[in-house]
Amino acid sequence: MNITQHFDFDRGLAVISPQGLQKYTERLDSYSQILTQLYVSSANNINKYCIDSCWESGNIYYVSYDNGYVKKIQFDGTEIASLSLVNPLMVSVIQYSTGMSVTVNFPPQNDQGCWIADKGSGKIIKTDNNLNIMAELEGIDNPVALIADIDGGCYVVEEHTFPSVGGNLIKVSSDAEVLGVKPYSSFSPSVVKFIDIAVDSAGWVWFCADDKLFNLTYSSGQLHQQYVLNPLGSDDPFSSSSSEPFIEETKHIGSIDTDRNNLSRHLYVAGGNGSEAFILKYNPESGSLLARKQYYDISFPYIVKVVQGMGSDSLYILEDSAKWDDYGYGSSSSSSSSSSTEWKSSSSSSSKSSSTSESSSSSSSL
Amino acid sequence: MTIKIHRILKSDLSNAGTIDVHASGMSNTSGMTISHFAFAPQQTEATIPYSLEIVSEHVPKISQTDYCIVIRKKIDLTAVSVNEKTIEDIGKDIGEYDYTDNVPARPLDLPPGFTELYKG
Repeated sequence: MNITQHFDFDRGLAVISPQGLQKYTERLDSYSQILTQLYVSSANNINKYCIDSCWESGNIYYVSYDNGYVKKIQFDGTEIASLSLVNPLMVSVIQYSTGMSVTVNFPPQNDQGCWIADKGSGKIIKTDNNLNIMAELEGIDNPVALIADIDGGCYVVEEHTFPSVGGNLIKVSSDAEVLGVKPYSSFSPSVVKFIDIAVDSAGWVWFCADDKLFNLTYSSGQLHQQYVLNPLGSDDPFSSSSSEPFIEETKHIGSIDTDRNNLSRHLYVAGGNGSEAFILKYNPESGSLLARKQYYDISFPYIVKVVQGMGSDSLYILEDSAKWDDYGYGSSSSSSSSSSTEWKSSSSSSSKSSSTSESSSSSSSL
Repeated sequence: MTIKIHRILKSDLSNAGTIDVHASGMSNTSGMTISHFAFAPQQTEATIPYSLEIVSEHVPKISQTDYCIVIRKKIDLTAVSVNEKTIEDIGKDIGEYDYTDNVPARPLDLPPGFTELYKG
């Protein structure tokens, strides 16, 4: 008896909210809700990373900040594993490959685990595929983003508001050791407010802050800034020279994501304001703009998720007109500075603390 | 409120569809995020050359033939693998259900492709 399951990556979508986890599939010409269950979180939790799915297995990881747990479920809702923490805020799955395969094994229990930011304990935690803790890094007091890297490590962004103002982009190894730190003040130009982060299939990091896109790579304990894009400033594709008219009112970047399955590793940038949205598509190698689109019937695109399936043709955006000024743009011009945080890592194979600060960076603007 | 999620095509960034998420009691998307997942199997027509009639605690019938095996425990009959690939290892066709390798003596041969499973 041979049965094959084919997966259409463009037609599976999970939506998580304080009202629950909802999964949608597209059947024929309409979307239908197929499952509502499980999730109750804090209504004040506005992070973007409390759910992530494994491209290879289809398993879904999600966190509940208020209830203090991380769960891993199959796509049919069956719980595979659970981990109790203090206040887990973000989760990022360590992916097997650069994109989803056409077929998956059943039951889909094989993946590489995940990274978790537990704000309550000030730790970031690496787990195996059964949510057993394999390594952890202490001293991450206010994480605002966490994303798994292609080498099994991760990047974490932490911000501080008191007593010092600023933040750090931290490169963490697969053993939860700090490999490199880039303070906000070392970016060129220096940054104040983080927006989003993405890692492509070549390990290039896209760090979005202050409506700018910083392209970074990591090597030899250093995070090197390659170039910066300023789509709402000098690189505005909707400027007056554009053939498409643009209503000139304040707009901001809402979210970014990369296409890891595509060899060209395209970067997608979504932004707008309370009444309109734009989407941009970039070539990461050259920083050149490949496509652009404006929508006057879509409000601020708060989240963009590129579907990572082989041959997939779409991405999803979540709009919310109330989110466009959540970051308080223009309300602060205070200079950023690095903090004096001490990070302490521990894992099953090693336990030592290390920190590396980068004092300068290479940079160039397009 | 109704929250809208839009599907955008990678090629030209055009809008390919909108999902309306009805979330009662919500005034904005606080706490909401999205992630795609590998689901939505495409259905394929297939013909199984025998019929199964299996009831717990009863003798199963395979193609109208009674088999003297009593199903004592729940057995997961799902089987998933790569198309046209024969499942040869015991257990791979039952989704790693809690089984044992202890196979009792059986009075009749099973049809090709079947492996007898016993949960003591």
